[in-house]
Amino acid sequence: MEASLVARTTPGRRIGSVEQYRPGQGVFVDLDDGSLRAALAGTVHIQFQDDHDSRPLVSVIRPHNLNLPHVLTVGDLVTARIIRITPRVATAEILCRGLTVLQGEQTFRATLRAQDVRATEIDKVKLFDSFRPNDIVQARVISLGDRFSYFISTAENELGVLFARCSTCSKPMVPVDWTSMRCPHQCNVEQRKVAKRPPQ
Amino acid sequence: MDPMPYSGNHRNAESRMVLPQSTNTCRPVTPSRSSTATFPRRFGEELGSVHPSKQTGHRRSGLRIHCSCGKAVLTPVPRKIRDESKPELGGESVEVVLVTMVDELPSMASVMAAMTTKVSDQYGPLVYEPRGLESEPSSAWFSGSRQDGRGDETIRPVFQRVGVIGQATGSAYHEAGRTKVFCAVYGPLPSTEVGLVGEGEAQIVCEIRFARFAKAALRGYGPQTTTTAASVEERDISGIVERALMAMVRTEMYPKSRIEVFGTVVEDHGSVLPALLTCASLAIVDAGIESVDCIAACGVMLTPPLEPEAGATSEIRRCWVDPTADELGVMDAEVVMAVLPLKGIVHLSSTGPIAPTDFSRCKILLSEGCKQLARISRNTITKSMMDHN
Repeated sequence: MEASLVARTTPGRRIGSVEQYRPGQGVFVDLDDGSLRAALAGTVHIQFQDDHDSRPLVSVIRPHNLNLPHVLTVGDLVTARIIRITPRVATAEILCRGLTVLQGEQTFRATLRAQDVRATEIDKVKLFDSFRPNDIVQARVISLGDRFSYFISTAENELGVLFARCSTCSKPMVPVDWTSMRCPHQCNVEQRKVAKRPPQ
Repeated sequence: MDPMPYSGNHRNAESRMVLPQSTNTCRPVTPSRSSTATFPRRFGEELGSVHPSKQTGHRRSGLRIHCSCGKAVLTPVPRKIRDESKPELGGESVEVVLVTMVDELPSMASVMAAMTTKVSDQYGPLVYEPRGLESEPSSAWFSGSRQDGRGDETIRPVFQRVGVIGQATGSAYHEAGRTKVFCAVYGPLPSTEVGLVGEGEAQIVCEIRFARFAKAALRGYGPQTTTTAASVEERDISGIVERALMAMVRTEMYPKSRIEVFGTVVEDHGSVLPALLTCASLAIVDAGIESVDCIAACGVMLTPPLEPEAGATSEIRRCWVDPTADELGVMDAEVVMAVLPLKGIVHLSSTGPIAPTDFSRCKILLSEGCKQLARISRNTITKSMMDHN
């Protein structure tokens, strides 16, 4: 059950107390007096949930057509483009978070380690047979990593290469199974760790 | 005494004219309080000329006195120049560049008197001929009322708008009287350089620039201003805004990111720092970056003590909230304060001599001014949300 107030709030305004509500998105807890305050300028939404926690969830939502900065967290599904391959590590740049395209000339970088490519036989992974530069992959963020890059993983069936070009003729390739893709024009088969698409 | 021929060596002790009681360590000079002329001069302004009372036939017989940087005292440096406009002086005069930096500004009359005495030793009896100083404020202004008719505690009318720069993540425009500032915020962007903050927090990078036409004195193109690097004042202000925004933004929500803030001052008519602080915080809120509150900033200036009114026991200094550039020309001290209404003071700085009692007065006025600014900013944000729904 969800109810939203049409209360517009600015950052710093008090919404309630920690005893009344659970803090959601756009809300922070002011430790001085245990109150919930808005962190954004937007409308206050209250969601009643039938969890063990009886407090409703309160969040501040910005108007949808305004910019909202996107932050990557652990567990996010991202779409990335492979930039560089080494025997142990692949570097990628993150293009989308979920269904939202991340704008800007500068993109967040992500690191895909060999042991995170697949779930089985992780010590026998050959990165060159799993990805090539300029492949578009679906991955999941597993760690915030260090200052420069996140850590991503493709160790699930639905994760892996979504789109790749043939290395000889640069035409888009068609997936054969979870380890290979085929170029439809010259019938070359190349090794990739392919993402399992839902059946169409 | 036979005047020494000017050798062009201005390191010579005799050709160096030092103001009485002023040294390079900036001890305060006790001024003679006249009601007309205790205010700093503008850079390069000609203060007057000193020429011999009677022609002695020497070619180096005139002095034109310029002011270089109305607030800094070093030592006057005589410089030989050709003066065609005063043929009676023999076609040549010596220009004295007077650079003053004192805690309390001497009156022009006392400066001239001191200069004339010193100069007479070298060049013979001289007469000081002051140049007409059009910018000298009338004594009525200085007697205590503000030039634009405001009360001491009234801020200038404020106009704000958010979302003015389409390509930025967030932006704001703030106008207070004639002071106009823009601010654009981009972020959170990936941070690519090693910064000083930890990885778990966003890094805020702020760059404030003045347009070349922003100040009354045009900072156009010339031998000293062709560099596009930020001036000391710009870098100073950028640092202040950056630190204030770091207190305001919930940086822990944006790890490994960089938030870039660009401010441009289009017209500087006084109180630019409070305007920039308020404008930058509005732009951050418009960008949807999580913050604790909105910054509200205000400035206050203290006038030099005025003549005590009838019945008053001592001289008082007036406190004027939100000073304009003209009023800052007579300022003795200025205090700027920025608050986050939720958390407290995020910035407090002062320039000039302030007694503790005056400072408490300033703080009270500043809190009041900041409260008004906070209300105005909140209204601006709320109204902009209504436009979108």
